[in-house]
Amino acid sequence: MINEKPIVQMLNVRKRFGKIQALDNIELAITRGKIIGLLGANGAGKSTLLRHIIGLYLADEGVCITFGTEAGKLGPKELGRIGYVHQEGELLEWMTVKQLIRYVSAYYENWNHELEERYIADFDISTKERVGSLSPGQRQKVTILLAIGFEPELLILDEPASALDPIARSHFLDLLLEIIQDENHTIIISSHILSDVEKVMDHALIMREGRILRDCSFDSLREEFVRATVTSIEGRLPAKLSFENIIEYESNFSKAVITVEKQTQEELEAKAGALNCEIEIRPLSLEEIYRLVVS
Amino acid sequence: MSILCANLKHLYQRRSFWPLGLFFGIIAFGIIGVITEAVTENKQGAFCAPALWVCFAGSFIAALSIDVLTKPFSYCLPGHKDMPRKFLFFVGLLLSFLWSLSFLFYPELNFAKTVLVCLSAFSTFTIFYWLGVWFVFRFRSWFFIFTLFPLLLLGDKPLNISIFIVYSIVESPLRMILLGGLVNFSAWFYWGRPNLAREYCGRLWMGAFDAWNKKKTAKLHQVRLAERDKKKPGSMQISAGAESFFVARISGAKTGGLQQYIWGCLYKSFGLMFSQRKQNWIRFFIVILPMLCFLCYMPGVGKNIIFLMPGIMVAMMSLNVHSSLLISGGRRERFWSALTLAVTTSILITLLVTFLAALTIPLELILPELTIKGVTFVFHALNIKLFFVPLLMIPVTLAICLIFHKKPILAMFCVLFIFQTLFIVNIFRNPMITIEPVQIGPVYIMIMLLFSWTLFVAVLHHICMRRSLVGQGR
Repeated sequence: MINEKPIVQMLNVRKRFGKIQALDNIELAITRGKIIGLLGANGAGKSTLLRHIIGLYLADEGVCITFGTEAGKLGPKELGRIGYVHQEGELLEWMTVKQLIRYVSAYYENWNHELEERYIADFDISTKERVGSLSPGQRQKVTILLAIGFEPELLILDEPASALDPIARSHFLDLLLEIIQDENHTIIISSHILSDVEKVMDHALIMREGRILRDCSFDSLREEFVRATVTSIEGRLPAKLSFENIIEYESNFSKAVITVEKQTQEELEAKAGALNCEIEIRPLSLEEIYRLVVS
Repeated sequence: MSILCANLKHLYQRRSFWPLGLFFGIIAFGIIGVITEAVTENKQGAFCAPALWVCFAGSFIAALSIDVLTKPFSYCLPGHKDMPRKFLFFVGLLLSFLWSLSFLFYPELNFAKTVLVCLSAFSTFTIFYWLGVWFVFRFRSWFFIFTLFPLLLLGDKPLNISIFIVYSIVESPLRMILLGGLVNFSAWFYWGRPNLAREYCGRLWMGAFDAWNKKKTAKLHQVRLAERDKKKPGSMQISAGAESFFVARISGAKTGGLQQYIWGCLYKSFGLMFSQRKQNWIRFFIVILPMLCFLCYMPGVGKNIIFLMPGIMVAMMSLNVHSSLLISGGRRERFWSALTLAVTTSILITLLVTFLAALTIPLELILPELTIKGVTFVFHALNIKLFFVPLLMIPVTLAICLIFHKKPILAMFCVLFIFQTLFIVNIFRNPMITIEPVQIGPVYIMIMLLFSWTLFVAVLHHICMRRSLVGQGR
């Protein structure tokens, strides 16, 4: 049974860097057992939000509570349950990969050595190489291993797959799905590769200019926007289609492609029937939905 | 606008170069003054001063060229591949020409001879210019050029380098013109080789003002370590012994306890140092000891600088406070481990400096007086009673570096400012200028130590507990 008490809660969080309002009145509650896709353009505030969760940033206003503790006061007990793949890719450059893994694993009693070995084999990581001489892709693989090796309850991934090749990315997504099999685990993934995130996420958080535009399940987001091709059965389409909440519209003589918001399939079909038209409805990809939400 | 003009704009468009331009300008005025004086006082050796100036200017221009060459986009720009050569030649010839005009005022020359000597000076200055350029291209670092400066200054007196250069310019003008021609001819081919752009494109390079860019410095350091490691595998890696020692202590400590993080922080900072082979330590002392002897032979003021140097050197040290590598330590753990690291570093450095100071005491009895060109140099031991200075300086420097974490150049400026002030402030005047015993009583030393460490702890605590630890907000 999934515990619905939020593991991360942000109440009215604001953060400003000079003239930039990085986070603006963020209200958020993250519960267990989900893969949350955190989407937004560069500078939308994704990394800032993630860093607040683990206490690397402190809010100017409002509170961020992670595992029941104010983020600024998180200690080993709480942080030992959080894995973090960071954008900076900061590692200890002078160590070999093997030494680095041994160093990080020394902090965790529950380090899963079996998982470590499997990951090293699957992702083809050379443990004898110096961290400083790894390629960006290899570095990212090592960073991911260090974040998942102790099977954290909350895994925070900030642009985790940007440097991975397509095969490694596919392995990585499989790995996330494997991790989430345990309903006690939660993953927050921030990425610009929407096609990847789409495959795994079940909850969407879309940000723009420090504000959350959408905080809902991915299914409801997918239901919110649909694209329909309306074809007139006889002759020309009417000059004005009577569909509601049309966001995008494109038409020629007898055919129109419309993108609508908050319309059920039944409603659309009924309207099309009334216009003596055929209608073909298809869901939008995450990328298309994202574009509509932020535009 | 021509491509050359666009490149020449770098000379004034980059604001970080303005102070350096000012520096070169002031030195140039100084040289003009010295030459004017030389004309009236018949000290012709001063006429070679521009040679040193163009040499350093050459190094600076080379650094600027490499800055552009390493940017991948410049490789692809049409007509840009030959630009380093054109740029280097344009600036070099112009500067050498301007400085060669100083020989118009060289005393006791007729018109024909003056023209010939000016040409000779022009050729000689281009040689020095290309020396500076070559030095930077060869060693791929701008900073090494400064090692030449003390060598040239020290070598000038016993070897009469300046007199030799001026003598060669004036007395053997044709030879110098020929030599200059050959050097310029070689330079034309060397800096016009087709592979030049490819050799530098995308390479990690420390630009003229990148010493303060910690990220870039660390990256370059890693590249160099990796290169050394490739030559001698395992030499620049942590030893198995040191690794087992630290990892055993981290995993042996109570999970989530402070001890874990303190050991981890010490491992990150000292692991590599403790892994050094015996030869590396011997090499370290081989470098340090002659420098120590040199300092101790210096008359009066300078030698006790060794007690202040650690205070500046720790400015490049990382306390691991601003780190995004998430291990399970929180802000409190960062504070305590950084504090332990600072204390450990201060104690180790103080011990090392005290050891070196102690070493000079028996050396004072053994080492003889040296007489060079009629000047006698006496070896004086370091004033060991100043042993507390690193302990006093290090926390202040670390506090400043924490405050200006995002602007390391400002941090270094502040550190150097304090360093300079200490020379002036009364309490340090006695021990620095004379070789008298320190006049500061133990109570005052304790008060100063307490003050500097309280300042450091307060700053560290504030940053660890109240500030952003990564990214733009730190």
